[in-house]
Amino acid sequence: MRKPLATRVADLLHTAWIGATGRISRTILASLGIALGVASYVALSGIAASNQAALLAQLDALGANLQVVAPGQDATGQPVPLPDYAPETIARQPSVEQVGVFLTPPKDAQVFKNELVPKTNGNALAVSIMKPGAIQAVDASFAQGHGINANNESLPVAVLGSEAAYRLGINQTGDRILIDNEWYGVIGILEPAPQAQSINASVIIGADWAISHYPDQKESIQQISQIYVRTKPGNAESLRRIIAHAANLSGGNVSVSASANLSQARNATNDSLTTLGLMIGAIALAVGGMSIANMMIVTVMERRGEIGLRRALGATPGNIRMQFVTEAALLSAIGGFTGVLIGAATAIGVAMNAGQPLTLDWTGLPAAWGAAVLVGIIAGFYPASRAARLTPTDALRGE
Amino acid sequence: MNALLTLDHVTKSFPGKDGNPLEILHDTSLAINHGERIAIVGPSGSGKSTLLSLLGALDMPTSGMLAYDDQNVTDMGEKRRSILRAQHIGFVFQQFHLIATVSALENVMTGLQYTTLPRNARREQAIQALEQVGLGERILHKPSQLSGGEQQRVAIARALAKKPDIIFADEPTGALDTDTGHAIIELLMGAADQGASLVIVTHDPNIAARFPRRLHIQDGVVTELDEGGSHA
Repeated sequence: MRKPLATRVADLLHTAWIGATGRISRTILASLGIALGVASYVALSGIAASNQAALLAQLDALGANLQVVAPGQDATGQPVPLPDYAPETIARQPSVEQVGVFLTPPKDAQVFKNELVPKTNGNALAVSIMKPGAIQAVDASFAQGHGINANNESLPVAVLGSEAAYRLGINQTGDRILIDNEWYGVIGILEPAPQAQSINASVIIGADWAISHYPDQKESIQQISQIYVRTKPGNAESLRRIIAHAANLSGGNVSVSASANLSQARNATNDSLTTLGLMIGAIALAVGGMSIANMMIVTVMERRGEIGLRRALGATPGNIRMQFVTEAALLSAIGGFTGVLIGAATAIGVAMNAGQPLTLDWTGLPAAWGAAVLVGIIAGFYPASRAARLTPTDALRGE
Repeated sequence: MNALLTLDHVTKSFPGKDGNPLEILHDTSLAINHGERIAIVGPSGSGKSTLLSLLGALDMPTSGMLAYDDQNVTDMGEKRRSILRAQHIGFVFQQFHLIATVSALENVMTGLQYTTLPRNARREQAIQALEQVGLGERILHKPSQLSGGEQQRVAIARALAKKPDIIFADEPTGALDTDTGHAIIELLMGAADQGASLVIVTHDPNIAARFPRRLHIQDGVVTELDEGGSHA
């Protein structure tokens, strides 16, 4: 006749608890190894994830997820205009987040601070024409004022890139500038835009105004010069193909220049940092496991007398093995729980201190704890088997 | 009535220093009946503890047969022998062998842990046994808080709690002063009065004299000092 399962489990846990907590200093030492292992795992993977997130955000800011669509060339080297529908079809692609449309600027447009500046003293500033929303697509932000929208698109207003504002000596909105003898009110000044350097030295005007103001260039202005496409992170080459196809469904040539190397670097960085975090964690856990195994071997040697006694009292080798494996698992569970707390606190502290995004994998914490228990069970198996192999008389003589 | 325990032409050898087997117990046959009280005496190193280990199924003979209640123990696997010890055999050791980190009650309950008793029944029986040995007031004391005699009482309570068929005591008074030792023997005798067989190993001739059957062992040869048993 056997004991009911519940009684057997309760006995096992009770015996393991007595064994694991009988000597507090030993419990602390044994748990410390696995606690440090798990804490290292959680902290390092948390810190690595925060660094990873910060680095990826930096790469994204540099344009790793930005592609620029421009007219391609036909066999004779003539430009193939982008179709009008291109922005809409590109925007419909699931991997596309934002689309910014720039139209062809008027030829030889000249920009001056006022009429007193000699006409020969140009500022090498370009005029850009944008549709509403383009500034957001290139991730530029405003130092002052606001952008061109549906309300002011047909008015003589301008947004200055950071370099353009500097060269024109304009440091506040509300000033006026002169473009091709026409006064424009400055409604916004941009911060430097790292992803679209050409915008920095540009003066941006609205599409409707440009078309009405340059009637002789109406047709060319209406042609799209560039479409900035902000995508979700992914395979750069496949994104490039999708965007190229969407930009010209009839198969005409389209130039899609991606920050491909940057994008590949982003993916490689992401992969290698993830692998690094996992490797560090695995090593830390293995070290913790070794510490549990060592401590359990010492425990078995120390407690030969108890093992002999239990065998004399009727414990089977299986009972002894289960007792020590459970004890190792219990020590690991205690150590693992402490380690998760210490590791999470460390990761949070480091991320806050470094001003990095906190990207601790909360759902991974129970898994880290489970891994610690598993490591403890594996580490405890050898010492437990040694204990189980002791004969009662040998074990009793050992004390 | 059948014997409770029999040894039939049993020998026990251990590997010697030269690698050849060294026979510690020579061809021995004896029977222990239900309720019998036996003292094993003999000089140090004569094989007393080896004989006790074989009788208590803690160790197996090199040759010959050990039977318990007509069951051949030598043919049993390790697990069945463990169950036999758990349910029918009580041990008391010279060094008490108490678990230092738990209370007297937990120590006695450990003696019942490998039986099929539910936990609350184990607790009740353990408390009863501790009361029987006069430690009813000290059940929550740890071994370090008890005297040597009290620790041996806890060990006796642990053996008694399972209501064994037979109790083996290996020099139970060896680590105690004379008065305390006699008190311990009284307790063991009292347990035997309730029907259990009692086999005790002792150096003390005064203690041995209180047992109706005495076995003398010297150089691995067992001799009956009194009538009533078989011998090699």
